[in-house]
Amino acid sequence: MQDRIIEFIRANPAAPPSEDDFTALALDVFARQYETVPLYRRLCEARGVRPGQASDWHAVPAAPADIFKADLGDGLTDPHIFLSSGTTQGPQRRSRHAIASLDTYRASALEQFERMVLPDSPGRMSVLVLGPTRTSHPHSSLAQMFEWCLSEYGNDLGATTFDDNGGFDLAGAVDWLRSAASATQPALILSVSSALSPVIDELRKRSLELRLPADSRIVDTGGNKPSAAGSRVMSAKGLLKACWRYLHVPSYLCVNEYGMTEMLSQFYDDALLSRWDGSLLPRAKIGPHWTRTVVVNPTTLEPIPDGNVGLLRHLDLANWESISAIQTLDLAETCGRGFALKGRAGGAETRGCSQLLETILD
Amino acid sequence: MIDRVLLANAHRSRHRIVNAYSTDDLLAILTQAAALWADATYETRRRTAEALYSVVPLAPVMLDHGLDLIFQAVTDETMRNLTDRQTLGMPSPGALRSGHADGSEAFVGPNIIYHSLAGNVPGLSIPAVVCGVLARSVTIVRDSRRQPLLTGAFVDTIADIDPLVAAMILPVRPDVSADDARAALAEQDCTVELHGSDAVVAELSDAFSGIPTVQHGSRISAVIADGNAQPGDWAQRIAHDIAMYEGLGCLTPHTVFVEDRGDIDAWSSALAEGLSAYERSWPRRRQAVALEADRRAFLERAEVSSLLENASLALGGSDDAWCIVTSAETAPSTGPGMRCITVTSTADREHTVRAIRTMPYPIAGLGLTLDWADDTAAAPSHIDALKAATGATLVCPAGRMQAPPLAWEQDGGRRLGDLLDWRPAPS
Repeated sequence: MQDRIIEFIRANPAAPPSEDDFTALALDVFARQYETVPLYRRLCEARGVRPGQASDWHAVPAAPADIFKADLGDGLTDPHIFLSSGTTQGPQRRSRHAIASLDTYRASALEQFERMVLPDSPGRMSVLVLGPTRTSHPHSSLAQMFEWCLSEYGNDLGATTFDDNGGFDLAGAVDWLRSAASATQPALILSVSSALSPVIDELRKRSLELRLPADSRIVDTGGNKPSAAGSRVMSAKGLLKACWRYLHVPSYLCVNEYGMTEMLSQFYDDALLSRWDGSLLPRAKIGPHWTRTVVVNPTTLEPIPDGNVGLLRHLDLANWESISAIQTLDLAETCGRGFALKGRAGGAETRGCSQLLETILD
Repeated sequence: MIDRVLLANAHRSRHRIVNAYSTDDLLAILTQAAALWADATYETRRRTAEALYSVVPLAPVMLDHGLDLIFQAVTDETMRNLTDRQTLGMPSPGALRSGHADGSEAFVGPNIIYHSLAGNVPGLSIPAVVCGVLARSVTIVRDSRRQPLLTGAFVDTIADIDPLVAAMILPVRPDVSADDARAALAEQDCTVELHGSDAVVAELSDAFSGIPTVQHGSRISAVIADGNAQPGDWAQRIAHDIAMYEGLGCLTPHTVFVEDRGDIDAWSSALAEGLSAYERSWPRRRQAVALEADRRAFLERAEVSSLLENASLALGGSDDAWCIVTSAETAPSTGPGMRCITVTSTADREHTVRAIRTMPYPIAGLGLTLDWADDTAAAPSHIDALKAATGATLVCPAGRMQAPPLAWEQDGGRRLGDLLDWRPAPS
């Protein structure tokens, strides 16, 4: 199964596999998950859906994302375990995603990153990670992805800012940016959103308006939550303006990522892609061709017409080892060629990568 | 904007009422108006209800039942109970004392009472209007967009009986901003009452800083099932309290605590039957997306907990019309209302009180599986201790939680008594 999935992932995005190909693979993945993930099978039985009864991917039962709080990888020997960064309800409420091999995740993460963040093939860049690393957070899927990006796309000027003891090296980050501003190779900043605010605040405090080299870009992820360090909560637009003012990175080179521990695929703003391919559609988050996303009515869980706010439901083939169809509590509306996030259901826990910074700073 | 002409007229009416109307006069007018509204065939009520059916997200039959509960609570007896209890040791409202060096004084409410109402349940304005009239204060009532029309229609009925009294009440449109209201209250002796979620109340209260303000923020309610109580006798009544107003009221129970480690599965099953019955007679109508999303979050937690914990069971109605989470040990989780509830067990009353005190919002109401007459004097002696231990302001038999008495001291305040004071009598 892994080989089939990776082959599917590595298909040329300009000529992606057909809808029939996607459906066939999705149904095979569903059948496998029904057999190998006991908790998911119980959920499907409770909903009265068996693999033979689903004729297209819409019919695959979507499990609540909370199901990942259980151990779904019982049968795996020596699995790689990713844990969510904690929630407002405490560390014991973390989601847990266990997989036997990192190969699918690596293929998924890098293929989509290249498409959405590096469509112009800028070559090796100076990478600054304002987020977790494999050393500081060995169970963070985001840290794993950042590490791959650092090694795949970085030159020898790469730096990380979260140390092994849970500290965030703000001064080191600012020094790195000053140095990068005087270099010629473009910079790539990979950040949890809430780590950008203290950096911006520090630059403002020092009256530093840096000019990073042309084609430098910023990828941030997670919502911007109040920081224990006292930095401001910045709106998405405020962050874009600040990136231009203090780093000279234009908004079309600022890309917000949306992902979750429960999924091995990521969604990115299409701002950079739109700049590259000339699209004039409004900024939206789009997923890779091995995922499908629908916005559903929270009452009926049926897909809703474009322009209405509902809950996001994903089907991610990269999740073939766990559960692919996931019902989230993220509110969004369809927009452009993807969706725009509109918050999170109030009864759901505050969570995500910026919560991770809180865990560190608390 | 608040109409300045109507406001000036309201003040003139107030002057005449303070000087010319006794409390008995006002009670008679209010009693007559409420009695008309308690009758479902009363034309104004019927037409108002028909208009409300399309804008209020409640089943029409439920809305009619709500109107019954709201207006049946306003009688001569309940209003006298209100004035008697809340003016204990004080003169009856409106009493005049003449001969002061600075002129006469009257025992009345402030010049203006301004209410900004929440939209979760209908009829929040009715006790406000009653207390405003009895306090002889100009009463400005800003309804929520989600609960329009009712205040104005009730005031119209009062106007048919006594236009002078009705002129003292100003229902205003939901689009009146806090700043507009603040401008109307400037320099006046006034009180502001704010209803809504904690976030809304906090935002509004900033606009009224410097003015005496009563805040009614987010609250939650629960039921305590005595270990000896039989679910069959009580589940239907508890289901009523859960389903009424789609669980959006502060008096909606979100958790049933079954004491003495009682049979929670039996309670859940009986509640499921009750909720199914209410779903048939009061079909659940969909709410705003944000509320429905909150509800979905609860349903999803319920589904996962039922998959994960053998001791935990989730019951769900057809098309998710209702949901019960049953858990022997789990700390009570709170649903968003809308026919979602957690049934959990506790060892004893002390354990229950501890659990209530850890709930995420202050407790408003507690329903007990114990019957007593409406008259508060008939309440069991331990009720006051339970109120003190939990912070609940309403403790009543289960099934009556959605019909609080007019004299309910919501959030610990006396809705009439706290308004009254000796004030210079308008001449």
